Amino acid sequence: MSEATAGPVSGPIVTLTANPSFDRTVALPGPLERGAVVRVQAMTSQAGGKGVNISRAAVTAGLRTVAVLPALPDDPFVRELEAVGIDCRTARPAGAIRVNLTLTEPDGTTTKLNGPGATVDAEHLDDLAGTLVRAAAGGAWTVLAGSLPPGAPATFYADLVARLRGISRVAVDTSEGPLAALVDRLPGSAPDLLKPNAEELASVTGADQAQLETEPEVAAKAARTLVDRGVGSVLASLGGRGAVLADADGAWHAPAPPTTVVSTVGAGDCTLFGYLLAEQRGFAAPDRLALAVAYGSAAAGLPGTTIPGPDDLHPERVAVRQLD
Amino acid sequence: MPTRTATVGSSVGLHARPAALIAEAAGGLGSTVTINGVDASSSLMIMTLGAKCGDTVEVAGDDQADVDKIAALVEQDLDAD
Repeated sequence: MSEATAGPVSGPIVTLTANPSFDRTVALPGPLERGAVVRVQAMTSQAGGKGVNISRAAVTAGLRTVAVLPALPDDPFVRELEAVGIDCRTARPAGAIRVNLTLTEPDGTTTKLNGPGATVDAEHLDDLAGTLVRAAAGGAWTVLAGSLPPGAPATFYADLVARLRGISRVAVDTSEGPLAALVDRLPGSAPDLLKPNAEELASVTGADQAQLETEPEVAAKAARTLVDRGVGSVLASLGGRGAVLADADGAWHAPAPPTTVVSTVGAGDCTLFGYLLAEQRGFAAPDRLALAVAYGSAAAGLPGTTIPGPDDLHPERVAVRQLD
Repeated sequence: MPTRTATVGSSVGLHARPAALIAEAAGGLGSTVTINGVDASSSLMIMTLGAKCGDTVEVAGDDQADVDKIAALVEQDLDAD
């Protein structure tokens, strides 16, 4: 893309949340007592999921976004997203939206009880995939992020990427079975962007996770093996060590700027969104990495899944270095 | 807070060279100036706005003269040599 034509792409960022959850947090007044009845002062609830987080970040940055998810059209989950400006396209749900419950104690102890979600069948998945493909047809990017509901085959994302080819550029952020299945089916399942963390990159490349986290060159080499197999770009997030970006033209590392970490929940989603925003604005690869790391670091410095706004973002503090 | 609405004058919008020139100028000021809420001294943050030629943006800051300087740059065609 030449500089003269670089600018905002008109299409929205389309996100898929295949297994949405209400994230409820209870702040307990004292230590959790097993077997007791606790009358809690307050319970917060937020519509959650990796795709939802990315749509929230898009709205905060002023980009249009469409969230695709299995839910009834008038579900409170959908209404909550629509209230903040997220356009929702729903597919027939297999059951009620699951709840992920977080219990926090005054001493900082946190207990999480995550629901599995309703078990889906082939018809639910066909409906969800069809809804996504229709939404993706005018989108700038389609983001497949997060875990799959019970009953979904691990190949669901790999098959979707193949189906979306020629319709929309695709970014994938997932782990375990769905990630392994996608990597197994390269290059047919190759997304334009894959965003693993160190553990996920290690799991699909055989590289040593501890080494990946401490040596950016090792992470870049592992990422390059996926680029060689057809993936457009690999954005590997390395926690406190920042991130590595690898594509066919090279590899770059950006350490995270000094940040007082408050909550890393959702930081990876913000890292991915920062990259997509930069890509939509026509940034060169090193600047895309800088904005990705700036977004992730800003998110880590904010409580819960709070999305960073303009005041929180400092890409000029991110030093990008080209790797050999 | 002093605020001015400015129409983007650069033919490429607030991108590449115009963004870099505005950021350089804003970095040399004694006060902080923002464009649509983003720090005007960061060229990358200016570029995230995706403002095109003819779009209007809000320039704000604590110092009227500094706001006027940045607004004037936004309105110039900085890509013209």
